[in-house]
Amino acid sequence: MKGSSLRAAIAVCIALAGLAGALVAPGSMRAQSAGSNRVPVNVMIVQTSNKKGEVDPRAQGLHEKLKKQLRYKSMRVIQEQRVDLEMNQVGTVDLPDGRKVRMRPLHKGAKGVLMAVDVQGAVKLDARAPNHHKVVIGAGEYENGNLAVSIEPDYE
Amino acid sequence: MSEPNRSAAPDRSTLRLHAYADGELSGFARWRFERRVRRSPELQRELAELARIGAWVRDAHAESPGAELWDRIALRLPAADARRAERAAGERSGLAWLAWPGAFASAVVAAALVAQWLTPPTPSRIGVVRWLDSGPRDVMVLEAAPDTTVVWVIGPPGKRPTRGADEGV
Repeated sequence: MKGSSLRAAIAVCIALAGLAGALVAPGSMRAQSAGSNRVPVNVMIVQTSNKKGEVDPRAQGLHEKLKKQLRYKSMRVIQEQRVDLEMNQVGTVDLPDGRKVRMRPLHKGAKGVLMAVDVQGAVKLDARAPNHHKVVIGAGEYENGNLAVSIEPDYE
Repeated sequence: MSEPNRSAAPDRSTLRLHAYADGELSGFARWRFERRVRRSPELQRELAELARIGAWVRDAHAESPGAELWDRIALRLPAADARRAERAAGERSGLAWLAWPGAFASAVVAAALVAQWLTPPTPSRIGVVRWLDSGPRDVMVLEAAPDTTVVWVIGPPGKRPTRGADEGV
């Protein structure tokens, strides 16, 4: 009797281990699917200013994130662009003052996309951004305000 | 200074003594040897010595385990095997109580794996920005929201960033 209960318990353990494996396997498959080469990136270039004004409705989501961190009174969208990149492909977006923003996805995994970003004349950085995570980079002064570039990976 | 040549072989008198002690002498030879023993104290002493050695040997045989002792041991061997089997069964049943707690622990581990699989990945404490170079400018990195990171370059007032300084990504 004790032997049969022991066998039953072992069978339960094996079944649970199999269930766990079956549940983890799709996760690894999901990670693999995240490893496909395409990395679409939403890029938004905005100007913040201390002049009284409005917040562009297209930048309302960004404004909600930044208003407690940065001091400005208005925000307007200068450019909105979706850059569809492949791994290690360099995408370029022009800033209104003639400078360029370059971005290159280096690796895509479960923790997001590792991207190299160069805002010309301002900063270079490597960032591991999860999907739909915004990386907002201050690009310097522009027309009595400041330029900011929002980069957001947006892949399936 | 040579030693007397002593033969390793027993002499005739010793052989007769051993034969008498073992009861191997026939009637006339036995009578003659008994007459010699009566006349020789040395033979009497050797005969007594032989008798004492014989008694020791008999005692030693009496104390050695007989065939029945080994039979008894052989009969006990299956019983010892049975007791060993019972003891092993008892030890197995002693571990059986671990079975269901083990199954419960496995279920908890499986649940943890499922929860980890279902929850979306969150940014690690390492942060989103892994490396940064702003040159001579000061820069601040803010986690403005769980899904927003701000990298803000603080330049000196009136000093614009140089153009075309870096071309590579």
